[in-house]
Amino acid sequence: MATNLGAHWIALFVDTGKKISVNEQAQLKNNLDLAVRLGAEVLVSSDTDVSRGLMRIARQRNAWKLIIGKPGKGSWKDFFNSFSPVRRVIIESGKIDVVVLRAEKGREQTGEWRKKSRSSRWKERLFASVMLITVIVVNFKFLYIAGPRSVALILLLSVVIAGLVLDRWSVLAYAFVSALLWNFIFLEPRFTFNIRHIEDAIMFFMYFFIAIVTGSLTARIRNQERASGLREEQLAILYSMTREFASFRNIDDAARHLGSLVGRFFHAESVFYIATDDGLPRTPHPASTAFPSSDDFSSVLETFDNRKPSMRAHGESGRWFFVPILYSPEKTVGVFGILSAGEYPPSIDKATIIEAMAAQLALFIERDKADQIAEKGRLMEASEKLYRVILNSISHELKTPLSAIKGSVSTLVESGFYKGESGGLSLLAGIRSSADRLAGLVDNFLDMSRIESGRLSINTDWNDMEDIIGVVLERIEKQSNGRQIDVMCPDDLPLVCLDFTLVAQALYCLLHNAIVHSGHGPVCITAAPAEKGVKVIVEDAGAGIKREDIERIFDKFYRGISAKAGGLGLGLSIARGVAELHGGGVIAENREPSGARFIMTLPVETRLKSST
Amino acid sequence: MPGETILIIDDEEQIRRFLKIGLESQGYLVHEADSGGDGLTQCVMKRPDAVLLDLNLPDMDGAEVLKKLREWYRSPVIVLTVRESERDKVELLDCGADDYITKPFGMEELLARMRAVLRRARHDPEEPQFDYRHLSVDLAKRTVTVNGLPVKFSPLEYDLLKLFVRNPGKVLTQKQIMREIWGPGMESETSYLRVYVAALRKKIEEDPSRPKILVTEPGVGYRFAPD
Repeated sequence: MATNLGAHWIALFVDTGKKISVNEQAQLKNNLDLAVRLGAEVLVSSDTDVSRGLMRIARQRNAWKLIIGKPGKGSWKDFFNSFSPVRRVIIESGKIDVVVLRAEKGREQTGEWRKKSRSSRWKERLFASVMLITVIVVNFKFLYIAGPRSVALILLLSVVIAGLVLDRWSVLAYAFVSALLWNFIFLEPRFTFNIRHIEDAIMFFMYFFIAIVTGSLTARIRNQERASGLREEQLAILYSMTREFASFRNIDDAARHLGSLVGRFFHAESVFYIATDDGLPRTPHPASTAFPSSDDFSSVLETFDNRKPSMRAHGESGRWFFVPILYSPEKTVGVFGILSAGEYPPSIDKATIIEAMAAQLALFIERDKADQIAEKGRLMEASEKLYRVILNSISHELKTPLSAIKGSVSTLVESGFYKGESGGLSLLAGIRSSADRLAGLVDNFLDMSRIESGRLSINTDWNDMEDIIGVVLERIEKQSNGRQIDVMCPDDLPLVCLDFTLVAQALYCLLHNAIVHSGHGPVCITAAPAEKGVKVIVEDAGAGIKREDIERIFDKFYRGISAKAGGLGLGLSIARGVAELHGGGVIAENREPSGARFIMTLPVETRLKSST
Repeated sequence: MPGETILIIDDEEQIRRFLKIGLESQGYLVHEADSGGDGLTQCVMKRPDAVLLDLNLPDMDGAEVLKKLREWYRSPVIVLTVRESERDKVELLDCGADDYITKPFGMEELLARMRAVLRRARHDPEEPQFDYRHLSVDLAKRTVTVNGLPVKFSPLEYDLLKLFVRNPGKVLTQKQIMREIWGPGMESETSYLRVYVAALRKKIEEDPSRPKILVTEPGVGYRFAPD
């Protein structure tokens, strides 16, 4: 039926605590499985009274139609028992439609019942009165001979029974009436209210005492029942929340689900603010069902900043209750607000549930964030790996023929195979140096595309700046034919945390640039501590840089107007790219009276050499 | 030493050719293999005194060949790499490669490396006396002189120097040095190593900004007494 109507439906099993046979268990399991296959939500509720448990769940879930199977064979007990579940449900169903199905043929008997004005309390009182009269009459007819004490005990028993059904004051009334009747009808002198013996007086007061004890015991049991019902309600909310949360993929679904739970259980609207890296946004999450005014937003911010729930009410319509979405006592990831139409301020139980909801959402938000970061990391890693593979194979392909050329030429020259004229030897040397230059270009080209790609992960480690400069000098002095290069590297220069090979390549580019473009003068490289990290300064005594070129020389493939032939114009952009990867930069300026100065800043972590 | 055999594992014919000619001119016997599988087989058959291994092979990764080789083969292996792969170099050295040479390279450079690894492999009985340029170390007497003048070292500096003296010409990765001197678990604390290397250079190098005895292999480690 529900499927036809397209409605959400619930299959409910009320566990009364009664033992059920293996067969019945199997039957029950089959039924519930069938319900799940048909798209029902299966709930198990525990209550000693089937109809009460049923009605509680029905109200909790806002059911509008109840479908009950009528017992197949009516037993004689049902005939007398006005408390049979079906009848009770019909009586207590209130605004809910009740459909009773006949068990055997499954034909529907549809009817609509409105809640009767009769309340069960009056029925129970009637039951008690009938019991009292029956007991009195039976005793009067048959048990008089047993003496007033026996009658008193039987009457006491009826008081105990009445205590189980009636409320406290009715039990007292019942005890009072039965004590009076006993005194009047059975106690000598009969048909008077006199009491002669002290035992009888004790017995008389005993009625009240027992009535009070049973009455309060019953009251306590009922309270416990009510409390456990409430707990079950809380559990149902939390259960429904956590079960569904595990399956959600993003915050939107989770917030929407939480909103629907709030609507279902508290009949309230909800709002979600989820913090971003910049703090709490003014606009609520799209899953929100209500939107606080800009005045209310100050309470939202207060909640977010103080990490404590806050309330804000103006009139009947805007009664907000905001709780922080706390991931840990120090970390707020958002604010969860409830616009309540019901009790205000919310009861402790409700507030606890709302806070539990917020906590659940916090876990979810954090999980979602972690997932996103992990996913991004995975993608980055995969793309970096792919990129590295491609670059490595390009590098390999370009360098293999270069290796063959250089290797072959150097074998010819160095192994003394070439025995021809000296002109031939100089040609071979030309091939070798061209191969070297080409290799350098390929290196630069590959470096540039790696830096440009943004996929280069820098491989930082603690390094000694002097060590890096040493490596660069070793490499460059092989090619620079004895050009004077001065190094100034103070002893107290701290260790720096950077990528050795990249920075060495950047320095090589700067030095190479200085040597190539500054004629024959000396070149100086200075390392010095900076405000943060270190800076390296490369100075030459050449002609300097033309004013209009001072920024453009860093552009890729840009070559100064006065530049000599050769070179791709990549060196300075590589140097700048490497510095930028370390959070710094390279600037160029002219020296007085002549020459150029390049300053590379590397604002990296430092560590004093003496402290290690 | 003439007559020593070398196996070249490289798929590029041009490279194999110049390597063969260059090495044979120095009196080595050369075998060639053009794939990882072939290389492994030839290694078993010919038992070369050293292997030159290219990392880009058509059938298997060079690192894989090295690992398989190192299951039983003890003689030196020199790996031919390209510049981009510092991490690979470190990994290969930690996996048991004796040295590497970066493409493109000259024949002289290769021959120097080859002589160095073969000399170490011949297991010359450890000389207590080590002389290199202006440095002289006597491991038996625990004395170090630079330009004939005695120099004092702290115990840790001396341990580091001793490790280098015992491995002349060999690249030692940072990890290998850290483990040897500071013990396992300290491999990532490279700042200690930097400080001690800088201190050592101040005492043994003529110009610590241009080290000639204890040189850095960028991104890989250090090489002591490079030629």
